[in-house]
Amino acid sequence: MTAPDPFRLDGRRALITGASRGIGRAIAESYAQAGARLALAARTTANLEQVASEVRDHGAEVHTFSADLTDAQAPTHLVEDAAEALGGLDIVVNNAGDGGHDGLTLDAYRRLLHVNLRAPVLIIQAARIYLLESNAPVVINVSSVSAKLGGAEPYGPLKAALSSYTVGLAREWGKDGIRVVAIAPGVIETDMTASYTNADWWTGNLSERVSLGRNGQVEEIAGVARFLASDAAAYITGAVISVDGGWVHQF
Amino acid sequence: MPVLERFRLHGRRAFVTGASRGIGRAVGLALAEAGADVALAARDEARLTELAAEIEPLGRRAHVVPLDLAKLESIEPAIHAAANALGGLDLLVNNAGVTYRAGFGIEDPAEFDRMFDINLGAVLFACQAARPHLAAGGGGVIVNIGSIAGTKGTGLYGASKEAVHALTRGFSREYANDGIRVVALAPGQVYTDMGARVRANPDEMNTLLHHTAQGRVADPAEIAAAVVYLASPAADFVTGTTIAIDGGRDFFARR
Repeated sequence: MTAPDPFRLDGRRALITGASRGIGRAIAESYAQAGARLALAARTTANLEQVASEVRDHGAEVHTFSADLTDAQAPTHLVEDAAEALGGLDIVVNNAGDGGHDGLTLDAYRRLLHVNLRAPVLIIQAARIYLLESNAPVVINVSSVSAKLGGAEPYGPLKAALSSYTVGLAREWGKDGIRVVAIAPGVIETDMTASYTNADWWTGNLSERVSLGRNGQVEEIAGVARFLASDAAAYITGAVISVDGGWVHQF
Repeated sequence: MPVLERFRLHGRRAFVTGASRGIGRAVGLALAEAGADVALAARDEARLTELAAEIEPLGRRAHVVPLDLAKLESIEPAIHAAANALGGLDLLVNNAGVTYRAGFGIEDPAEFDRMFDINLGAVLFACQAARPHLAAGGGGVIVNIGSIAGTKGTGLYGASKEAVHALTRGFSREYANDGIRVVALAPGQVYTDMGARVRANPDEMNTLLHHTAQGRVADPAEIAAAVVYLASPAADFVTGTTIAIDGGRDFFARR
């Protein structure tokens, strides 16, 4: 008999938000391939059902939930519904985010505050009672390279807030054995970034901004998310892992 | 120019939020002592009027701006009115801030919103409102008061302050073409009303001092002195950065 593969997620119960597209969808697929049981959430269920059916082809158990994360109650209800469907929770991935490209207005500020920060915090808070019952509990927050770069629209500052929250919560929950980590993706080719990832102004000087000289792919975030959720990362907590092709390391 | 002249703020026009107490009050006084006219914004008009009376004998103008920074839509008109009253604006100090009772959690979504609105939203909209006035004067400086709590990760209050450090980086790039510098300070524990809750808790206070190299709390004037430096021509090549003023807060305990 061989030792269990520490990179597998067999039987782990994972909630993933923003799972209908982009990075969230790729994380769902990688977790399914690793043997996890999934609760997938998105604002609308149309795309989500498509993702669910593809993931079921890997033989994974999948439940889908529609949740409007701008709402103050929805995050808590989502966690309760997901935990009920899966019989508990081991992995929580706060991936849903709003990049907000409509300038700094009161409405945009409030929507981004709620989706990018309030919702993850409410989800984490509601998930705590389930994570305390888990043998391998972990929270993964999807931050952004924008946290380091800043930015006038509140997206970057709110991702910085999420990273700071991650670092502090890891310290707070360490005694309970709950790991709390963040991934800070660079520019990944998704619907959210499609407006510029192939534009000349962006690709023209890409190698000046990104050490690897190319955009990232969603699978390259999903792989890190799978690693961080697994026992292979059992001693990692409070870390914000940059997955950005070496963007901010340019001098 | 003699080096000490570089630290002067002769005739600069400043808008200071949260100016009625603590760090903001010390900043208002220090800027006036360094030669600036000041618009003092806060909810407590009576305290601002007292401060204005302290400043005017220094030969500087002090303009009282009653303002609740939780009302984000009221910030832009208040800044425009202050710029009109002072004949322009060269300096914005985003100092107003509130603590957060619920730590890492959200017990009341309205309480979460209010804290973020004051600590982050007000800074965003004040920068946006001040930008044309600063640019019209040929540049200018925005100083944001963040916190070492943001860098260390201390719950949602710290998260709001880390957001301020990040917006400082972002705005510094966007505003550089207008000649505007944007900088932040990250104070450690300062002797203010806001810090009273921590000072009243011996366990929390001992832990905090144990992790501070100097083993003491700062006076608000020590933060104000750094604001004067950052606002002055002495700091002309400083932008986008967050400077810690924390008595040496380390990951390791003091011996």
